[in-house]
Amino acid sequence: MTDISRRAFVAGTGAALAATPLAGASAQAAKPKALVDLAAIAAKKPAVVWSESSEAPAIAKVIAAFNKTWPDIKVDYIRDTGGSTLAAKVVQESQAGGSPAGMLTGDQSQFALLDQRGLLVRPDWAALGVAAANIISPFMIPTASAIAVLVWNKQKVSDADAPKQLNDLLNPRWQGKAGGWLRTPSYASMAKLMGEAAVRAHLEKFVTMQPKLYDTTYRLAQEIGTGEIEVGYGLYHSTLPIIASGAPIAYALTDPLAISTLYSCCVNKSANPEGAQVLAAWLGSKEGADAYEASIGRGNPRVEGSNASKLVTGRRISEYPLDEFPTYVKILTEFNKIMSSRGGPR
Amino acid sequence: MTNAGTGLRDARNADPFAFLPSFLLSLPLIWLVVAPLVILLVCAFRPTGFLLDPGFTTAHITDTWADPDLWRLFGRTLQFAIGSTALALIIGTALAWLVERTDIAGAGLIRALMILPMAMPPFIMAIAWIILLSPRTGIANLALMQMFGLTSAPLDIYNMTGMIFVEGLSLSPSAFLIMAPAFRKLDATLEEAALMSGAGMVDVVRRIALPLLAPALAGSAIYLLIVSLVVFDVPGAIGHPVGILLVSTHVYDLLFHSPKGLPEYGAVSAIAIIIAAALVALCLVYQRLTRTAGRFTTITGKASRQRTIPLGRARPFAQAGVVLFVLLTVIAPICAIGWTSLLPYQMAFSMDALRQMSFANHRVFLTDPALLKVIGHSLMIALTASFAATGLAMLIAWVVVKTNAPGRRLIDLLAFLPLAFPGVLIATALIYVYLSIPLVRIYGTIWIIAVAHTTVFLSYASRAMNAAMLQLHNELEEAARMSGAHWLTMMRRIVVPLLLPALAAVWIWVFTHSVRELSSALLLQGRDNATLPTLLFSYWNQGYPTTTAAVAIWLVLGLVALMAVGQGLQAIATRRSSP
Repeated sequence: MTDISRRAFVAGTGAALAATPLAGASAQAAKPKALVDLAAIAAKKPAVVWSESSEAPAIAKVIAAFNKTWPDIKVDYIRDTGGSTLAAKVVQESQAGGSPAGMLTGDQSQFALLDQRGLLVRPDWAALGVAAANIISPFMIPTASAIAVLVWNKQKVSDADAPKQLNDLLNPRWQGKAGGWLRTPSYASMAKLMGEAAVRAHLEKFVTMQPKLYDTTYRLAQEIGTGEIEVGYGLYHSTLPIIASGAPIAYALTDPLAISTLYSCCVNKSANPEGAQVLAAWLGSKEGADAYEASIGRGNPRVEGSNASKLVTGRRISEYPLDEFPTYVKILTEFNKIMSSRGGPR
Repeated sequence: MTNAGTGLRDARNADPFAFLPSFLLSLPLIWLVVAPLVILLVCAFRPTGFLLDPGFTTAHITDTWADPDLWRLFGRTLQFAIGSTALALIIGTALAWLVERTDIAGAGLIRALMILPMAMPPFIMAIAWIILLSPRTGIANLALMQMFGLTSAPLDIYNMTGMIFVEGLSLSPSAFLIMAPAFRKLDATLEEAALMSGAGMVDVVRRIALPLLAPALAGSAIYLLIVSLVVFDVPGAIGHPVGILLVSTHVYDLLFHSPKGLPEYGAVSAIAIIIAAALVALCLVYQRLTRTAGRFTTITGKASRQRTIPLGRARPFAQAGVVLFVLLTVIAPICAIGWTSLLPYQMAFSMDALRQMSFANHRVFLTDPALLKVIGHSLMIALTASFAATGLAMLIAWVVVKTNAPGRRLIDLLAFLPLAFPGVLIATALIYVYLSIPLVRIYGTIWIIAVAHTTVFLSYASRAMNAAMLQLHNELEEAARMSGAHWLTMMRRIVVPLLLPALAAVWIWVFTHSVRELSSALLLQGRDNATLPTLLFSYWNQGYPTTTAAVAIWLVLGLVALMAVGQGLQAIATRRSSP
């Protein structure tokens, strides 16, 4: 998604969803024939193994919701929080003759490499009832988006001083008191609308301010909650649990708003690739997206009515489209390097 | 000192089956160590870094080794490793000396307390010290500011000194466990003879004690140095957020945060080769130091006794030092973690925080339906790994120290080598090994984690067993053989009983480290082989630091209880093995 209006995008997506038999439907009878046929094959096979980074109890709720629609397809879950290892395990297990996970949820950089290796199924998403707006790749389907937000400690920072835009973090008063995520996908996405040079300049200045950087945005939010740092650039879904626990933190969305889409893909050498396709298609539906967002906190802004879509309404959404993937990776690599150059021997 | 070894070795030189022990031991070592390491080395020469991908390249090696940033990282890592090793050795050796050779009060209790820090995973220890010494919210800092009216925090954990402090504390029990048996076995008659011959105390230490302790000191120093070179927990938790990158955190980024989408195994393997080369060099130094094994034997067929050194007026200071150590390594971290476990979210110490305390996080953990299963997994993995590593290490030590078997030095090296490879790398190699052997279907089960832990912890076990074996005089074995005892009988009735305290110490060490080990368990996690550390990590990773703290408290308490049982067993073993 680039600088298209979010409202137009969601409206289009909603219309497309409404036009499909999946919209709001829960009865299997209303499903496309191709999907029902796949489900029939999947029901006779071993469990679909789903792998991603979310905690198991939350995913169990999503699986339970899926089984209300597709009770005959068993789904097991393996949590993989290792980032790059999600796809690496599929490569290794496939090469060694093992049975890799059937469906993965993660970022495009990993799945593009799996597709290049011929390890992913390329389903006819339309025939499976997936909304046209969600069909943006032959081998993966958008499942949720990580939405970048500015976060601050309400006890340390007044409303007047709270950052409103990304460059507000460069205020000298945050010297040694700001934090961020060690990885820079949000910055790389932001570069699409804010401009590569502007984001690069921001990062180069930011790293001179002795920020504390964390390997997850959950930790970033926690540290802001404790007051160890006062402001930071994190993610919406990882800020919510910390707010829910009572920590005095608040967040704000920037304009433009950087998002990083997470996709689901199906592995062809898995034990049940048919079941994986049914699960992926279901996650792309309104029913699946709602179940996923309710359990995990990450929503799909492409799905009308989701919290994520409400959150981003009226804002310019900044993200490199899939056909600019090489540019995105180049920028991401460069920004990661800038970010990791902070600090030094102390 | 006696001239141990040569007689037995000369006799064995004529044995046409002299190679047999090395050959037999090489089989499990090929399985456990060589196969995974060869896989890792091959990955360094694959263009993609994946073992079974086609092609050959030296680009990973040339690019990685020519990168000046990497050598700067190595320089900084060496600074961290030397600092941590020195601190751990000073603490561990001093406390071992106090407990084993002096009249310090409560030596038995101190011995038990010394290994308590092992119950604290380094990852948790680092978190605890962050809670205590963060510059703005650290409990200790806030208390010091309050007490002395300071306007800014006097201490900051987020620097190289802080990292060395925590890692040194964390490693000191390992140093203690290697040094304590060495002090225990020192024959007092040697020191007394020197003193009666007019030697001063310094001379006795320099010319008697230090040479006798050389194998244990060298083994301990080399072991701690290499552990510090590849350790991730403390540099990851303390250094990483503020940009103090070490080789281990760089490897972590290459594996888990690669912008290319897949882990950069090629670059990581190229770095591992450098670490392995350094390790081989250190191992050769160690072997050279211990070549004349007979110089160090102190358990002979003759009775030996220990001399207790009176501390005199230094006794209160020594006891204060012990109290300080326990305070820093056990009480303060447990209090910090315990405090956090009672809070709804991580917060600084305040009256408001006190009002919000509850046991909610403990309830979340204790009512987790997966809890019993996860505990069972952790215990089964630890039991398997500890028995396997201890047994194998004893056999390796016997072959390396007590025989002239061709290839014994290679066997020694192989047993040491896994230390150079981070647990995640060994786990990656094991994925290939066990997916490629259809007959051994352990991939995705707890058994593959047990194999990984056996490999990872074999290094320590073999170092500790070598040091203990070096102190057994061959005359005991020779006597058994001359009486017609079979090898198995000799091992069962002579070697094992005499080594029982060392065996128990190694077993406890491997068991506790296995229960708390995270990195390889995380990578080998399948549908049904979660362990306590992976459960703990999942809470931490998902943004529940207070629940993480609750899990950590129960993990630490469980390990303390297990170690207490282990200590009891070790005490029984020591009594049985005493002449």
